[in-house]
Amino acid sequence: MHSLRELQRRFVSALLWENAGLLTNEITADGIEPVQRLQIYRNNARIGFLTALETTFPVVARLGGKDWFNQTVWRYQQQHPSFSGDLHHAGELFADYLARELSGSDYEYFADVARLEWIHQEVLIAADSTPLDFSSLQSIPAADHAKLRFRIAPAARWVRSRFPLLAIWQANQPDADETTSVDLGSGPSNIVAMRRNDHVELRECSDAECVMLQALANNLNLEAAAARFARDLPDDDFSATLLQLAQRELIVDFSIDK
Amino acid sequence: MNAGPRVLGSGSMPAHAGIGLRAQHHDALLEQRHEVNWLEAHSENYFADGGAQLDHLLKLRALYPLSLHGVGLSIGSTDPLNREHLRKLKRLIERSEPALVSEHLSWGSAGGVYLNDLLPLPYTEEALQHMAARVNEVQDFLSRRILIENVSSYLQFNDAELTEWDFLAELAQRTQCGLLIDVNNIYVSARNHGFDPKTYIERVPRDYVGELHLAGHSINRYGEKEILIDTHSTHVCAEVWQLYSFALETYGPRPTLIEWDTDIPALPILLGEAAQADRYLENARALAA
Repeated sequence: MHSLRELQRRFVSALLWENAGLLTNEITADGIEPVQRLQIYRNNARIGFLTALETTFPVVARLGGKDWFNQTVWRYQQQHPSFSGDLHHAGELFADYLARELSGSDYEYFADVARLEWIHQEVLIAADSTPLDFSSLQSIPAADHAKLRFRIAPAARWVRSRFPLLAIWQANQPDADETTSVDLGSGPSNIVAMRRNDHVELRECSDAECVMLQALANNLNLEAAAARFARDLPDDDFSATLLQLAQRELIVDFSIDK
Repeated sequence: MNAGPRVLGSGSMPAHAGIGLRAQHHDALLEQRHEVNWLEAHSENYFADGGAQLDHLLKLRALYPLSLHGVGLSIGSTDPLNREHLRKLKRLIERSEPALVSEHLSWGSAGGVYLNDLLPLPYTEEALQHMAARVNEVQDFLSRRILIENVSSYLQFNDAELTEWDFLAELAQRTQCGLLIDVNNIYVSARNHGFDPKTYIERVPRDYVGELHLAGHSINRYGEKEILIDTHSTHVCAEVWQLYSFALETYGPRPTLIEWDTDIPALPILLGEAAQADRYLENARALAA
């Protein structure tokens, strides 16, 4: 008999990488081959993982079809097994995996759809917050404005894609018109996902909003954010973009450098 | 965590039937006060930092007694206990103030890889010592008693030194944890491995039993042999109801959960199963009086 640690290591290997031979001598047959008994557990582990990913990535599953999705998720599980007792994390690397697997194919856009679906899930379970009351900034001397750091709503994420992502997502919702077609070549898109009233709002946003969101997410103060913005988008209006984020209730707090 | 006896039993959970809480039923349970004695939620479904799921749970908690039932802590694993998981569980306990908190007599990860399943332990002294240390560690971290549930199993290890019921009983005595006895799991494992389910029930010390579970299962065939699979996808079968009756005779009335996790039915069907369990509990109370 192996130690408990070794037994468990072999069990994982038997289920995930189909090395059942590592364990068969440890298991009582009693009329059913140990390999078949292990197969029951392998099926359970596969189904649990698959169900979690189907829940997180319904559009990718719909686009790829049941057989493709099942096989893809199993290969993904073998390469990137769950690292948490909470299966909500299981799809964290799925978009990157699809990007590698589908690179150069006609289905490269699946990876970006997966990114959108992943941020959709993140937004659903992120912390609650209330939008910043900008009147609270009135007490900050103008000379200190450059030192302000704004915090983005925890339940907000964004994704940039060279595909028309929102149109793809909308066309693959359960209540979508089945006859709708999307031209994959119709251009890039940026999507911001934000939770409002218990549901996730997806909307297209500008390059300027994305650059601003990223600068604030990187915890840059306004002086540094403005410099970054001017470098990346010299023709866009920094103040107007910041105001736009505020109006969309994407900013929830601020701090000021000492 | 062996310093001094703990208060055994079921805390403030009523010895009535409850149902497993599933997202599909959140709205129905919130809109109208149903004849539900209590709810049991899978802890990991509510580990979120915020959002609607968590908000619904806390609103439901204001209406119904709550039990938190974990499936992902992997207590029996030889990996270090997942502190992040424990912290989230503790935060959820603080937020929702459940009457009961439970986990499983199983493991689900090794070498940092999770299979997210309830995998069987070898019933050896080594595993017992390990499991007892881990249950103590969890109870210390959470500063509360937990219940440990028996799982269905589809294999046995050649070198087992103890029966599952003796393993469970010894675990409870060493750690003063409570026991969540899943009657369907006993029935499934008894059929799969050929032991008498009543012996199992009789050998579990009644004072440690804080909760019972009931669920449905499916039957798979392998040549001449059958394997029962704990699917939680259908009604409780007649044989399990009979075994439940025996469990109530043995332990007395205990909070009892109807588990139904896949092919989840409409709420009235779940409530019907719970009403059935309540009739058994009523009989048990009458017998005990």
